[in-house]
Amino acid sequence: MMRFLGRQLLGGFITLALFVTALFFVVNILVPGDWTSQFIMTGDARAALQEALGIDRPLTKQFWTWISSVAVLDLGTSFGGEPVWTAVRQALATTLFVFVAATVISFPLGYWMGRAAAWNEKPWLTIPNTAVAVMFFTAFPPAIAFLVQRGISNVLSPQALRSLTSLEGDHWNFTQTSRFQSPPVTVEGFEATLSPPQVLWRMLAIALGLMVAVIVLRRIVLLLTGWRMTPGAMAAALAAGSVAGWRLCGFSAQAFDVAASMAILIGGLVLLSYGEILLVTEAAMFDTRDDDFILTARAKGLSERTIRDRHSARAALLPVLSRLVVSVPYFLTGLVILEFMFEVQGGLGNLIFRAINLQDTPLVVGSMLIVGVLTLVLRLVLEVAIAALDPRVRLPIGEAP
Amino acid sequence: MTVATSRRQARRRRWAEHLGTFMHNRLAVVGLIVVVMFAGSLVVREVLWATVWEGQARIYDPATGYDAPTAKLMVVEEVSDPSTEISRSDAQFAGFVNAVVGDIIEKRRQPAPPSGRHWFGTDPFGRDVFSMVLAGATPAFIVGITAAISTAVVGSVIAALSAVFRGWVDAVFSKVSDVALLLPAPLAMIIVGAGAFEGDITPFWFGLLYGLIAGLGTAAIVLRSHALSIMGRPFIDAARVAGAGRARLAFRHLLPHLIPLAGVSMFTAVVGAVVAHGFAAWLAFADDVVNWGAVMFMGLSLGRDFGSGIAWNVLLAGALAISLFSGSFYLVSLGIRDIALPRSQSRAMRRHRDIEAQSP
Repeated sequence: MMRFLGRQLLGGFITLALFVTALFFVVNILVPGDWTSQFIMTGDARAALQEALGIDRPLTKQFWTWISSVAVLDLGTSFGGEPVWTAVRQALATTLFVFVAATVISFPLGYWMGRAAAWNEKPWLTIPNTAVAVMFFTAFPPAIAFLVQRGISNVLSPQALRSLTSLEGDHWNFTQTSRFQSPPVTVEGFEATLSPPQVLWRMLAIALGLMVAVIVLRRIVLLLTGWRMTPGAMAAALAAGSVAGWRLCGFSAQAFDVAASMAILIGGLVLLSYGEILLVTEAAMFDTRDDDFILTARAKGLSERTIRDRHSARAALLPVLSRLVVSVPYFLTGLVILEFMFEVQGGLGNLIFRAINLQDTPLVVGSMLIVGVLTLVLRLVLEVAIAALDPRVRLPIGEAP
Repeated sequence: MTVATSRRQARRRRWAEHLGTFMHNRLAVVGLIVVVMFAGSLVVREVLWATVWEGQARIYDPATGYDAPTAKLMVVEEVSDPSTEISRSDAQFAGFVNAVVGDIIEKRRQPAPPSGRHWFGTDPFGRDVFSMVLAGATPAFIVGITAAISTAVVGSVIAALSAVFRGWVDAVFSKVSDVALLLPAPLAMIIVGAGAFEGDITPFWFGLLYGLIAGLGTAAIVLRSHALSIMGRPFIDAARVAGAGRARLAFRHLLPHLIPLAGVSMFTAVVGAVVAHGFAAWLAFADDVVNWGAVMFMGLSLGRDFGSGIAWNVLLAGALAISLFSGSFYLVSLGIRDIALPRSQSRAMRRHRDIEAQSP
């Protein structure tokens, strides 16, 4: 396992180095406009500004300056004067939190529904299930954003549905997300001391710790009582643990507030990723349906439910996870688009699109780099998970038995 | 019977078999029907322009048309039904300064809800949404088809080469795929569209470049693992023993076996490309005025800016067009997957085949 991990880390590092190089040149060549072109100024002043920003030098020289600062984890300074890392770090908190929260919800949901879809013979149940999943898989992200927004404001006020069909009235400006900005959140009756990104990082740490704890707990419960915790029980334990954790750390009011303002984004991303997870699970389980081990299980007299959950779904987990490795960047893109749609000030989405519009290349490169690193890390985690589930994967290609 | 005819018969039988497999996937058939309907809409558009809309370009042109149907509204104190009533202050704001409660006024509606004259209503500019949706099918087909072809070609050629040559060729291509995966195609296309094309990227170039990125990334990875499994089959060894060189092995023997799975990548690439193109158009980073993404943008943002609220008819038409179009291509890809990977066929299909095999 250690050798496998080392090989993956080395491979990831090489990929990252290639990605960084490609990214820098692609963005700098493809975004040829010049940041200074947005100002009206004389030629001399423009030349002076270009020299000060260092964009008058040849691209290769710029690249060496940039890469040597990236090597010591300094992403440079955006043309606006703000260090890129400061801008990106704040955005990363939101994006990562939403991504983790949405995946924790959508993966079990899609996996569960996919299981049902693959094993059910009744077409009136499976076809709508698959059709809805296809609809979400191919949905236009702004449409999803609109749907979620309407859905949430509909729950809050039944009037919203009327205004949707009447062409009058406008509930689009859902102000809850705009509360999420860098000055600390102040909640009534609570003295805020942490800024939202700080709250998010803490919530993220608690959530990740709890996930490990719940998996360990499941093992212990199984050993002691023989009861296998259902996904619902695990989710309940996770939710209860989070609330208790926030309370223990003393920022529960802020955490609730942040979670409420993120709910809309999480809901949107769940819808965007749910469809694909369901479809992949269904396809992978379909592949196992007529395998010999299923026949054996059936011959042993196991119930269909046990065969589905313990035999087929278990075998399908591997292809589903390896498909997720490929899909992670697309989920992240969807999230970036959703953040842009909801005008979440602190997210990577607005950062990237604002940077593209302003032709602020250091910021574009920096934030795309973070998206890439995030993808790479998530892929590494998934690959380790796959290797833990399937020992054959740990061997290098060619050595497989 | 000569060799040629028996070969032709075998080919015909194989195609009939593939068709049968495809037709047994009900979702795939539905997808095919919807794709054909969208293709038909290209014809419907021409027919409408030749007959019903002839000489009415000022009303029905998707980019420059204008029509604001009038609606009779009753002025009341408290509005209970916005489609027939209007509050006094709104009436005064709309130009009827002397309106009093009980009057019936004729107000121009822009955007207008669906009517017989405008099947999908009009957008905040007063343009016919049905005509815009029909016109949006052309760029969608161009983007989809170019993306599909370039994805399939790039993906399968890379997969075949790396499976046959292995060694450093494989290592280089895998690393390129890994890097391409880190740069998600929709986001990359927005940067390309905004940058290199200065917001004027045509559907053709959008599809081509999208397919290139998707083909290097996702498609190459999926096809490569399939190609490696094919390389282990006896017919490859047979070809090698018969003296086939590596290039011949890759293009003559391996590539044909990759085509069905490449077809799956093709149709899934359409999904991503059309949605990404819609979003690029939404952000005004794509060339066309009439594109489903742009149509939705009109409904949502312009309506808001003009103070008329969200034009739900425009929003619904644009969103449904994109989702249905790309969704139907995805469903077709399910049917092709059944042909490409026979293991995933439904049990009903297999039972059907068994019965056929038993009958004399």
